[in-house]
Amino acid sequence: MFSTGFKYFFGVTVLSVVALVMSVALFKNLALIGVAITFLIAAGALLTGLAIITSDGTTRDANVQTSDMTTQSLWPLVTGIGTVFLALGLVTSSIVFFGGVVVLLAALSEWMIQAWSERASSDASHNAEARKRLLNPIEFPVLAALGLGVVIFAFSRIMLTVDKSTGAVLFIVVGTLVLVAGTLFAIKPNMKRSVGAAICALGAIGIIAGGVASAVSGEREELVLAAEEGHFTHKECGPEESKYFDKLKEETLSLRSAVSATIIYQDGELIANIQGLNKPQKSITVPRSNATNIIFRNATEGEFRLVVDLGKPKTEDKDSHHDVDCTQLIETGGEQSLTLNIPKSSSADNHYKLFIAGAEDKQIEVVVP
Amino acid sequence: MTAIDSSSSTAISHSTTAGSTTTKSSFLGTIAAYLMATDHTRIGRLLISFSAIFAIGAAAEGALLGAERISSSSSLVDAGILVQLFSAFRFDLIFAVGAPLMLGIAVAIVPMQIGARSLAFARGAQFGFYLWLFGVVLVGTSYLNNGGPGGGNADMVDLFLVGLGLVIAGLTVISASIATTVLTSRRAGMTLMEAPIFSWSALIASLSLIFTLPVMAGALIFVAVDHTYERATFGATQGVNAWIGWAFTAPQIFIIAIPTLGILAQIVATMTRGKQPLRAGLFVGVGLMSVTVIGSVTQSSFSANFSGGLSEIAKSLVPFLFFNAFSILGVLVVLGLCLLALKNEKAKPTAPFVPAFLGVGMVLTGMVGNAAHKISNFGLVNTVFEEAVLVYICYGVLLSSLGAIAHFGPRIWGREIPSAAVVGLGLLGFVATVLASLPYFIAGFADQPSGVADGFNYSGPAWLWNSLVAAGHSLMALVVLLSVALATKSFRSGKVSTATSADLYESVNG
Amino acid sequence: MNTSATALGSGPKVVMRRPTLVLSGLLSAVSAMLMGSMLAIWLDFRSKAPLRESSDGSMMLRDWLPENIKIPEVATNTMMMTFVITCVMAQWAVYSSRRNDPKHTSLALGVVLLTEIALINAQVAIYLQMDIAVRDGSYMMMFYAVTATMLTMIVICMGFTLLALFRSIGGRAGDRDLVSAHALYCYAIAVIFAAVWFVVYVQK
Repeated sequence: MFSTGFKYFFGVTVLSVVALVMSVALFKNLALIGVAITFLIAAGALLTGLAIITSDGTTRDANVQTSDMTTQSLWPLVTGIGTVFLALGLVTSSIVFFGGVVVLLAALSEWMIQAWSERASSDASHNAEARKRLLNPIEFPVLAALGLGVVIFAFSRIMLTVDKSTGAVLFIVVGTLVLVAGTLFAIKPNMKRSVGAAICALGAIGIIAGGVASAVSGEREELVLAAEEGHFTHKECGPEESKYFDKLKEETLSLRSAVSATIIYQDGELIANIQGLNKPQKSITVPRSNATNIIFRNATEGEFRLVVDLGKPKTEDKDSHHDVDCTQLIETGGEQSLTLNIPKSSSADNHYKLFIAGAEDKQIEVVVP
Repeated sequence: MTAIDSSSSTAISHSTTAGSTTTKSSFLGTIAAYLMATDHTRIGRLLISFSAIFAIGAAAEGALLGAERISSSSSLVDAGILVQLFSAFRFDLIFAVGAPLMLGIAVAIVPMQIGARSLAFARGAQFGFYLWLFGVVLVGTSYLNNGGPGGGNADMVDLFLVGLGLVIAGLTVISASIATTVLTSRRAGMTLMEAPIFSWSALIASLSLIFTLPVMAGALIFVAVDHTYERATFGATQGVNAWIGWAFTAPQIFIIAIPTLGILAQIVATMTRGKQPLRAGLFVGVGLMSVTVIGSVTQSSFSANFSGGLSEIAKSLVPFLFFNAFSILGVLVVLGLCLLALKNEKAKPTAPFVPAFLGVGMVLTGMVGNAAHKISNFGLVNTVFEEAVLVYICYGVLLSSLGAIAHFGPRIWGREIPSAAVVGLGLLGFVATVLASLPYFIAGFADQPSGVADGFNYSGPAWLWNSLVAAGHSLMALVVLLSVALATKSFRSGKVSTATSADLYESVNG
Repeated sequence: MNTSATALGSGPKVVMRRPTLVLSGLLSAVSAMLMGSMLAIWLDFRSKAPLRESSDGSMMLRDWLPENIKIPEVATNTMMMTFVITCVMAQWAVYSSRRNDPKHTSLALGVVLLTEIALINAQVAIYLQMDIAVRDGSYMMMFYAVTATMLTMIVICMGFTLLALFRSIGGRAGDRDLVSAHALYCYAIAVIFAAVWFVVYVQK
């Protein structure tokens, strides 16, 4: 009447109850022991009930198939990798964690759909087709983007490691190789698939291997120094030429739409030409918290830069310097644009102005209503 | 009714065919096939193979620890590394060798025994294998970088905790797959009582792990969160052992030894052609051994103290007997019934019987030793006595698995392992086990402390006991290596087996 | 010329002994033992906390929940009620599946998914309202450990729901084993949450 499984689970449950009663009678502090055994009783009771419902899984029907053969699958391995990354990410960094989440979700989806498709019909090729129809529209673009991303990233690492002249040569060589390979594919349409795949694979492996080697060896010295010293991360708005900020200065403009004002430094005087106003102005009005473009034109002999004073930053340090922004140092006849985005209105504390670096008396007031 | 199913013959021939197909396919193809394997024999082989490799490593660690303790004046390893080594030795024996080895044998054998074509959730088992493997790699990495319990590198301790969590998850998933297979995939007409005894023991062991590993995981989560953020409530890195150390000692370790009873009973049943008196008693005996679960989930240790009044003695004796004695009773029941069957049928022992019987004997010795360890009056707490208990149990599992591979292997691969070699390795393994543990039983009574390699001094030849232990572990490493080599050679090119699929499990009605 | 449309045979009919239901039962047991051990340790710490006077001086309390922390009981009780709804909806899915009604099965599973999202939302609301940091103390660290584990169980149940929903929409609404297994797990985590709710949120 009672199945073997039921007897076992029932026995575990009953013995757990006996253990609980014994613990209550003998031990003072029951928190750890009592609660744990109580949950064991609950788990045992659940499985006892399950054993009754399923009758230990015994069936007398000889026509019933007991289990199904499962085909090979890569997804348990990928799911395992995703789980490991997720767990590692909890103790390392959030990038690893979220990477693990993405891999895990993708692998679980693939696993689920593979399992579903295997039972879709009795025809294996139809099932495979069903799976492809569902997943290929997602798999191919994602895999292509990933592959492309890896190749591009690897190539970028190579470019950051080699010096500039070598980099130029490398670009030419790689470009030539790609052209040669493409030409070969075009003129030999009957070429064996394996040969084409091998050429592409070799190329990808070469770039990725080079990228890995470059990443390991690190960026070239000048870039490391530039990063450490912040060569290109901040502007130097003094009257002298800056070695890095003023390198390769742009002195012409192509886009002239949506310009709020043109600031001209002419004959030692700084004036503002505002569209719609005939006379030059000594102040301009810019809207608050809106990106506003102005053009600076140097019509005076010599190299000058336009600086905008954005007031003191919100710190408790009374000696803190003003926030400034500026153009590069431009020659006579040159022009550059500057974008202003001022979040606070003008006031006695927030006094904004445009001036020429080295000639602070040449000013134009900036009013922010 | 004989429990023979033609599907098992198909399964065996399928496996044999698969094996011969494997040898013909390319190396890369074989690797890909194993990486994506959902065939239960392949998954089982993966678990057994990796466990064997880790067993050699664990034995080497034991040998190194024994050698380190021979003399307090010289040291082979740094003091800091020693702390990691002690912890790594325990972890490897239980979670990298004992548990996965038994589960691997179960995964490989159980479906064929019950007439199923595959595991119930084969891909789940594959996933569990990978979780376990990656977890062991992470734990090993953390140990190598001073990250185990009590380690000095906080980041590596975090890595250890994560790795241990993955190992627990992996073993739980594999156990769930085995338990579901036995409960739901038996061929038509086979009740649980009619299932082969090894399948029953695999079911019980899996269920026991399902009940206890999550308890360890719960404590681990607290320790991990505490260590990552606060590092105070659960005692920082030193507290790791305090909160999950119970999972590395008895009674928890008895659970991994449950299948050893099934292996012995299975081999005996084959020897006696299924004539087993009181067959139900075998089931009860195996079930009794799993009562250890109740003690494990409390995360507590229950000792007996024979000093004081009668009521005091009774108060300590009752829980001590309940949580420690039931499992010993189960082993005795199974041993007794097996010996009774052998005596009744005057059966001639087969080669696999030797290591399987010796394995159960070692497990029993360990369990009795644990009971002695828990008697406070003996003063064995915090001595090397407890380490000897662990080694008895885990090396008993190793011996038993040798018997299982020798018994079941021919039925899977169709080729035999030479009997003399099996017996010889079994006896050698027995000697290795005794050498690796018995001296520490003696040294425990002499109060050699556990977890330290020097600074102890007691009357008696400490150098002798530690030397014997080191020799025992070295010998066990050799035994495992030889067993792997023998099995590989035999199953590839050994003598063709004449065993039939009927030998895979005993006949129920005799 | 063959003009007839080829109708493919249905997939292999494997009538198994409800392996998914049994697996769900084992998973429920795992979840119960996991949370059981965590609550046991929680209560162990709580029982060892020193005694302090209550704010009105009328009784002695365990100095476990810091005085400045208030548990938002509306949100916690809402979670408890939502679990009840989840179980009812999951059982409706089983009921519909038995009648081979794919629309109602999918609808029920969809509602279960929504309630699970609501549960996660409620838990996040509790975190925000309590406004405690995990490093602030023992209670906070253990609180986050227990509730995050509960959240993980809910997320696993969500995965289960999505799987059942996908199968139902994909034409397998009659797969009673999976839907029953899903319902069993929903019941199990509802009971587990009831224990968490009582120990952590009610008993404090």
